Amino acid sequence: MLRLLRPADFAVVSLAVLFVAAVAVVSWAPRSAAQVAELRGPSGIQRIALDNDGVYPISGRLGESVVEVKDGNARFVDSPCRNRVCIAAGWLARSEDFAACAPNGVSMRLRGQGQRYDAIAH
Amino acid sequence: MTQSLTDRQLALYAALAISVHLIEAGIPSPLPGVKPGLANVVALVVLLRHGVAAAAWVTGLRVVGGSLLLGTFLGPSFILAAAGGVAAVAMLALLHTSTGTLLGPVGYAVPAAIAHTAAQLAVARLLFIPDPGLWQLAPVLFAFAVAAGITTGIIAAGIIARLPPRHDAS
Repeated sequence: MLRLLRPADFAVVSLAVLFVAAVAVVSWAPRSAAQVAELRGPSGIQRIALDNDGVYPISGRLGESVVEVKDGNARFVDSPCRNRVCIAAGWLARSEDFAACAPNGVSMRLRGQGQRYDAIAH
Repeated sequence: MTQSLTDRQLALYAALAISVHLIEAGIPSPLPGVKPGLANVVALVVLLRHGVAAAAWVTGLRVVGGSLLLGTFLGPSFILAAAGGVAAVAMLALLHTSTGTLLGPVGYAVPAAIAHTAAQLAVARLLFIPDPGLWQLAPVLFAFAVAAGITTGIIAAGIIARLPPRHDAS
């Protein structure tokens, strides 16, 4: 066996390179970060698809909070509370992003494919 | 070319594989989890000279023996190594029975390295890193697997070419 590589070996290596390229295309394809905004209030959970741009009210303990959905992102635009922390949270874009109006008992969490973690330690 | 091995010869091959495994473990890697896997050269030589069962023994003994000596037995890196070893041997067995003598060491090593990496990724995703972001690493790890397979395959081919063609099983 003087030659280190046989013709079949070249075929296998070529297939392997194609396989790596295919894996790269599939796993590096751009994907949307989140698909659904989950609004949680005293009266239950309401889900809004993030491709439906619009303004959605949700009633809480003090009154109505308002959520705006645009270009796949969501934010609180109005809330009947004093500190307006939920509005200051700004746009939520990625899966598991979260904002809440605690006085009004209303919260919003984005949901997408899988779950995102803040940190993982071993 | 395939000959049966005595237990003593098998143990010698396994000891050789464990030695290479230990030396490689002492060499720092630029990327965590990326190793050339030079101990697999021994498994490849054994596979082509003595068959799948002998190569499976050498790999199994190498994974268990190497982890005992490194102190990682039953730890995360042992579980990953075992999963990779099982998948690689399964791939070698599949190729050995389906292609006969068509393939050389490189043709065996590259698919085995890919199977090894795929199994480790799957086990890491299920047990240790529960985040779909892990798949982003897959193309890089598979590319390293192909490079490692070519490297170990060429080294094994060079060794086989220099070994005496017949081997007394005494």
